[in-house]
Amino acid sequence: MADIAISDTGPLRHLAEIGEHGVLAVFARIIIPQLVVRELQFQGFWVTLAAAMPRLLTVVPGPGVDSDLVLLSADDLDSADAAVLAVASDHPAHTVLTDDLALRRALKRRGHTVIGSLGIVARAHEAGMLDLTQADGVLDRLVDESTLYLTRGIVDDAKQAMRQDSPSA
Amino acid sequence: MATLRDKIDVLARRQGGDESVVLEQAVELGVEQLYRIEMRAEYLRGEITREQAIEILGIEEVDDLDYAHQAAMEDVAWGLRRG
Repeated sequence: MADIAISDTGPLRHLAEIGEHGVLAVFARIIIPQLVVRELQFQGFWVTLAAAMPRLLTVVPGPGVDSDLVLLSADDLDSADAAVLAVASDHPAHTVLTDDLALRRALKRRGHTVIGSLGIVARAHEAGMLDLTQADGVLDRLVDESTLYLTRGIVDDAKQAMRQDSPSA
Repeated sequence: MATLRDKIDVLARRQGGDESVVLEQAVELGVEQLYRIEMRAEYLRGEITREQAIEILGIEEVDDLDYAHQAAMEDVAWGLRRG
């Protein structure tokens, strides 16, 4: 059974930027707070994502203003990140998708499983959606062509780690 | 959209008309940025120590690099169901 995930803006945006949002199908369902949808609409990616995978994405209302403010002051997060944190608190068993290090830290402190775009690509490889060469190519394009801020050396280490013990290595 | 030439002209006008000053600043900023990119790469390749990296990049950036590296490795382990 594939995982159910809760997503922040980053992985959805970064994968859509390089036209690889299809790998999100490694999840059975992705829950997205309304504030994240607003960010994706503003950035121009929501229409593409919603049209490509209408049954995969489930939009949920975010938390109220008061709870946003509490979370913001505690973790120095923006309102969409705070909404992800609040929705994750209601669904502690779900994997949370984010490329934001501050949000990742906040979620990990609360015991959540947190995965970024690299993890989604690795899972797509493990699931047979991408062979190793294709997965390498997607990782390279995430660094070179998307707005994901990631140092090249980190991605090279991630690619090396994928080669060790990967299904097709 | 402004060309590189346009931008140099604008900056030179704002700074009193001396284009050579603008170009000197541009080289300094560009080299600083490239140097930091190279130092980040050298740190990740283990070619400089953490202490050296902190001296050059600052503790916050090195902490973020360490955390981002750890996160990437955790991501791969989770993706391949090794974690």
